[in-house]
Amino acid sequence: MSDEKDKRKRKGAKKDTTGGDSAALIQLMATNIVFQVAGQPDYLDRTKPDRDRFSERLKPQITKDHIKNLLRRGGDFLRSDLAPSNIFRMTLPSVSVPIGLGEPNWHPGRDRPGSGGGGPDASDDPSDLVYLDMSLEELTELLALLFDLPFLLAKDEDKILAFTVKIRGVNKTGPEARLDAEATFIARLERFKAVYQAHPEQFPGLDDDELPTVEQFPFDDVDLRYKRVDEQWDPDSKAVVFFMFDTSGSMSGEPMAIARFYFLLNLLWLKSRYAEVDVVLIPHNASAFRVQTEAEFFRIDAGGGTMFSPAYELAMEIAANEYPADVYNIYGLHATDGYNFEPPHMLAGVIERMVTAGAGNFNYFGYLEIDPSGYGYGTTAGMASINALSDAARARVGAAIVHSQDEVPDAMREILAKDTTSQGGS
Amino acid sequence: MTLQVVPQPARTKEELLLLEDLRILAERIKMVGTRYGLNPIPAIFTLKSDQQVLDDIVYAGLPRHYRHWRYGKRAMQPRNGHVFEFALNAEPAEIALGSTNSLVMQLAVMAHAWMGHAEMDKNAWFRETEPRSIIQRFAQDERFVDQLIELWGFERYEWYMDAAQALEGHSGWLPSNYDILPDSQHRRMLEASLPDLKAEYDKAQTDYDRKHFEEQIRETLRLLSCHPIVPTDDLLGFLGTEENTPQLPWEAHHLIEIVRSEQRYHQAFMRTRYAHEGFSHWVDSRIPWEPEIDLVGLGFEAMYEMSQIDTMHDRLPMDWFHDVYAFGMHLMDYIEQTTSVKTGTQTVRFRRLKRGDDGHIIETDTWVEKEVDVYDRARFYEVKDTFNDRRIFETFITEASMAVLNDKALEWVRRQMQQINKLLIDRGWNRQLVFDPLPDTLEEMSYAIEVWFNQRQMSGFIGQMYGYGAPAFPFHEYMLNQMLQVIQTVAEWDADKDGYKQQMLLYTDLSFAPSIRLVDSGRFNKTGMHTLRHDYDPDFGPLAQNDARETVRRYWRLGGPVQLLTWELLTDDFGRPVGAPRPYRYYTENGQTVKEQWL
Repeated sequence: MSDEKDKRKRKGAKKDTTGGDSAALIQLMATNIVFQVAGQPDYLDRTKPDRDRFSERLKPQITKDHIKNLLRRGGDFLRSDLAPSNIFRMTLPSVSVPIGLGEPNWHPGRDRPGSGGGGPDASDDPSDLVYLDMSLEELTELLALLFDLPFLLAKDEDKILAFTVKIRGVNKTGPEARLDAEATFIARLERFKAVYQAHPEQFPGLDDDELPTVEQFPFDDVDLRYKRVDEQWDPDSKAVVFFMFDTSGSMSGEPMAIARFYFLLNLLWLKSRYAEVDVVLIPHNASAFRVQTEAEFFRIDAGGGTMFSPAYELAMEIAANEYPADVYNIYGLHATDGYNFEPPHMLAGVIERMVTAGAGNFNYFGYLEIDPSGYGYGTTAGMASINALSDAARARVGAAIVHSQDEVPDAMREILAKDTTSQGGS
Repeated sequence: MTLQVVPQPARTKEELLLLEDLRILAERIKMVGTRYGLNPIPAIFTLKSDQQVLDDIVYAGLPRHYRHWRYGKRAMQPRNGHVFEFALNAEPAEIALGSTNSLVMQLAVMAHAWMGHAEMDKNAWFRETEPRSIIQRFAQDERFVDQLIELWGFERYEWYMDAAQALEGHSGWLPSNYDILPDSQHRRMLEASLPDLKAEYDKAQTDYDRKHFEEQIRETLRLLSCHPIVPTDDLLGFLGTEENTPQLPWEAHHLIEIVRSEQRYHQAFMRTRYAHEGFSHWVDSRIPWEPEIDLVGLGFEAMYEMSQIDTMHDRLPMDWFHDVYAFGMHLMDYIEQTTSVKTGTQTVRFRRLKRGDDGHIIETDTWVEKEVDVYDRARFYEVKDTFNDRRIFETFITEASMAVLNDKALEWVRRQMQQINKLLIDRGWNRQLVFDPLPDTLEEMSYAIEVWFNQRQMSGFIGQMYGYGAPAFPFHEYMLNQMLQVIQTVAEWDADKDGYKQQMLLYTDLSFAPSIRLVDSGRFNKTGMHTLRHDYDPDFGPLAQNDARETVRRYWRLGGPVQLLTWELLTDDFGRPVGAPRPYRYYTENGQTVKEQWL
């Protein structure tokens, strides 16, 4: 199918780029002068088939290490246009080197020291950089493939169901209050078209493309259209997720990269499953603040002391103001190294309040502790406060510890599997 | 050429007016060109948007091109934003004009592309590329490849195509040397000479004669054991011949030929880059100022803009030494000034131009007559028509031509130094930093600039540390750097003129590709593999190992087991070269594992 499409396009290209019939040519013939000045041919992207094939060849070559390196670089592969256009732009070093297409390209000079013997090495030449456009779905698929994340792809399981009242389409009957003026107006014009086609002689003063006045062609009962209202348990119901990202000084380096990966997976999981989900981004150290763009969130750097409660309080405040609990399912996800300056029992109180209906109204709270060196042994202040929770609160809180990036998918599954709060499903 | 009637679909009024402007300008450019003695091949100018031009450049401007992922890669790499024009070496020449160029810029680029490039395309180096049929040939290639992909699928097509593309730099040099006998004929001739030599040997009277004929017989037998008898740099030509690679399907031979012929088509330009751009820039810096173009009539703003366009390639003095436009034009200017002769004057007659209220050009009814000089430029045009870059560099990078350039550049440096002195005095800097009178020798100039350079860096550093109260050195680091580079370049020329030429040749003449020749295919001896030999060039250095490995891997796909003989440098633990280069060998028997050894 796509091949056929390509072929058609190239057929078009044939006509246009040779400057033949479609271009306006002004020809001048004087004694011995022959030249033509031609107008602009219609634009046609002739590189598309080649770009597609290049991407096709490139994508299978992307490895786990490659993605990990991209993430470790601090998320700057997420372009600023991520949020609006839903497109990930990944900068991949040239095909020749990191992914082994190995195109020889003579240039004076040597391989860089150390690259001999082993496989081909990454190129430093900025002109060798290739930008690979990738949709969110593709990236999800890729991550699912590379990190063994089947749950990222399970689209038919709808976890969050809510009773919704929605306007969907139009009806020919209905209460007066739901009259759809625009649709009614269009229906009248459609009827006019049909009548005019059949009996143009009935409209002596009117042209084909002219709009009739109401006197010339009045409304009729059959034109009336009403908004149709649908009431059902809807999987597309609204959810809001708070990403709370510990950016304190102790997180710098590997923990930061792991946390980014964790949030990225969550983001992809949410976006690929739910049509309508709001993500609130709250980085925090000893104080918490809200950032607007994902690019900003993923690029943030480590520094400062650590307090969890400002982030939790801010999340609760935003939820109370912007996301009423009767409309939204509210989730909180926190990634940290667990080193908190506050007393555990105090923090436990905050978490209790957060997941209590009528107080914080959070449906679920996920706590991820990142401990790459293994010194924490689950005894950090953060984990202590989770352990200090009451049983009722604990049912709404999932927690996991990871030591490396590879454990993140499992931890994520562990955290989410504990979530029994969402409605619907079983 | 007969008149072609072309349907004209309705266009916007604005575009029709613009096309009419361009037609008026093109007509006048042709008038001037004829007076100059230039007669370029017919041209089709097409206005193209920036994106369209960028897309076309991916395929080197060819309107039709076969598919390959490599072009997709090129399209996805970051590229320059605006291309003013490009000209395709075809007949008629296809010239694309950027539709966002201003009208004055269109004038300059039309002169550049048509009177420059399209005229240069008549150069002898381009004859073998058959410009009349080039577009049709590429259209055929595209069709062939499309059908092949349908038949074979991408994987199989790319198996051969990737290999051919990897070897594209080794397509043999233009023009083809038809004096070299075809291998089979050469072989028959040598074989036929053997009985004669044997008879001569038998008849020989003295030991000396016998030894002589014995040597000849041995040499002939040695040649006969090689295939091809004469080593060839045309690797693709060799592999694309069915007789040499009978194991390949005929489609693969055709693919190889497609890549080879395109490479040779581009080669003609690559080996005349300085001549091409230099001559075209020479033309575009003169023609717009000729009276017939009537820039005066177009107004002061047009003249002002044209003068800016003229100096576009002169922004940095180091460009005078390297840039294809600036240095190319310097050489062309020098050749023109030293070889052409003024033979008289001539009166030209043209209609006065003016800009209408809407900015478009109007040809008024006022006729103007101007007297212009007539030059005999036969020798200059001979150079343009027959020389390639290597020959131009070897003939015209001389003491005299470089003296002009060096004087100009050093004069620029001197003026900058004067300016710096003045600034330092005006702003009350330490008098020890003022070099007055200006130094005479290169060493002293270099010393002065280095002193300033240090001051500049130190003042920047102090400024960063302490903020207020630390004045910045009143001259930009980048320009100081340029001044130093100019002095170094002049000094380099003074020290080793031949070495300088060799370095300059690395910028052109396909010097980026190493010279690799096929010396034997192993058909008539026990090698069992093709043997490639790399001619070591100290300016280029040893081959990059990854490229060497990949090259033999790709060669294997077309030719089977292969070895590449080259020279390598021993390195110490820190990657520094030790001693002279030594013979080195890469070889592969299965196309995957590349083995290497010192010889």
